[in-house]
Amino acid sequence: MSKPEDDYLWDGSGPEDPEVARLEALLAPLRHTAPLDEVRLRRGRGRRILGAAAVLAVAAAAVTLVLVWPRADERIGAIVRPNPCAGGEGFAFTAAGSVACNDRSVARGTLPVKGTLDTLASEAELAIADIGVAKLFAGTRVRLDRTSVERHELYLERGRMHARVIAPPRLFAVGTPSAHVTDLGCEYTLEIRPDGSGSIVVQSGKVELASPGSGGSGAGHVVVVYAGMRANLLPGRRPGLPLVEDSNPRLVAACGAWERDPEQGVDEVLAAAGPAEAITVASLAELAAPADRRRILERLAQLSSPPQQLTVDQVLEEPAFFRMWMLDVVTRFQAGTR
Amino acid sequence: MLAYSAVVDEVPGLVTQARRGDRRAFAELYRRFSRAVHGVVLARVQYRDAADLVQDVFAIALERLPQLGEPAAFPGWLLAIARNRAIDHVRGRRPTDELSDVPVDAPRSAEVAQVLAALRKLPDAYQETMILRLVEGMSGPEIAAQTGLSPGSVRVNLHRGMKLLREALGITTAPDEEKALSK
Repeated sequence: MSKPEDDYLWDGSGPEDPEVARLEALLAPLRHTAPLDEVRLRRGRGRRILGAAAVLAVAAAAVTLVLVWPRADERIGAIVRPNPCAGGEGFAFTAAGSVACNDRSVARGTLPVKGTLDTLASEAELAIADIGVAKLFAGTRVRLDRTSVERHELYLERGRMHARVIAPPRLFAVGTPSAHVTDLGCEYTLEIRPDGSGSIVVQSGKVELASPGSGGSGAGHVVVVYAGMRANLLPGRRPGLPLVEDSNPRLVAACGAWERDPEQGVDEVLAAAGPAEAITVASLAELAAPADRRRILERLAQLSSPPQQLTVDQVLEEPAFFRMWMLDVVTRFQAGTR
Repeated sequence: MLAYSAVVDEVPGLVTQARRGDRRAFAELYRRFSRAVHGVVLARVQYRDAADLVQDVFAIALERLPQLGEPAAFPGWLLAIARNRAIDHVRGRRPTDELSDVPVDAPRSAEVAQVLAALRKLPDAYQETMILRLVEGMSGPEIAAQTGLSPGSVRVNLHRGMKLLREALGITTAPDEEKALSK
């Protein structure tokens, strides 16, 4: 049973406990009566949101630091050996933003031999030793395979590069999954898609395309692409047929069909090509199977007559005569008299 | 017991509404629970800081309301926020003179400070309950509803807490005598 004074203490019922009542009265001014402060409530929330944003920002910075910070073995490596992208032998580069050199995030440096440069979302300019420069577009990944006074070689794994070289022929080459591209003194744009296929557009001079694996030795299928022409690069196969930039659509389609099926596509290429595209037919003579060569040369003779009144039979018998004819076709093409 | 059942029955609905963004429901929760929060905070911090902390506690509660699992658990959850916020507030602070901050005239302020100090020295189990009763003017059933304690526990806390407070304040008046005087 509760006592009556406890009833007052409990719920104010029953006889008043004077001491409790006195204390109630004494302390009543301290009672909380303030209304909800909506302004402070919003400000408090805003402060917390800002606080949360600050926490998130710090967390993001920490994550970035963890991702960007070299791994422990790299940090140790940095102590015992120099940063491989910080100098020494290789191709110097600068980037508009951050790029990855040997998977290290940098804005500039030197791409070492066997090193890789991935432009990520940025663009970069890569010096080709002292003979030229290559602009690497976003999403491009290259590897420096070799650099010496005799030869400089890059490997374009994916992406797009625009190269401009002022040097003797064959001093600079680019390997790709589709073809070996050898500079013969020129400016060109080379693109490799994720599946290894690609294309090349030559702005000046000429480049040589060789089948992958030939190493640019000239063995196997080789074709030359001249300024004003383009060619597809076919992964793991022969180079595509060089096409004049303004080739007629029927020829473009015929070349595509030939690239997919060389045995069935020759006749359509020959039928579609006009005098302006004689250089494509001449290239076809270099790339096609020997059995197709006579009819290709006969069609070429219709589009661009052989020099010095050579006959198709003579050209078939003597490779030097073909080279002479090819030179004549190219000269006419470059002179615009095709 | 009407107040107790009313609070217990209506709070989950108000919490649910407040979760959906109903500011009037949240204001009603404030109206019902702000004294309890103030009492819990006042058991640990100086009077001048308590009102600010109450607003702070409700701001935190509004932020975290989506994290509250069971709406019926709101009272205990809210007072836990209040306790933590008060503890954070006093951590590392030096005690200061509370007399100048008490909103009563000078002759009584010393006594207010003395009673507050005595209340804060009570065992934890009685401290909050006694402040809610004597400072915030809440009844035992209200205290039970808003703290999550059972009515029986609140009653025991009040009885024993009052006994200890009397002793601490040197009050020797026998209840029976006072009761007789009041008649």
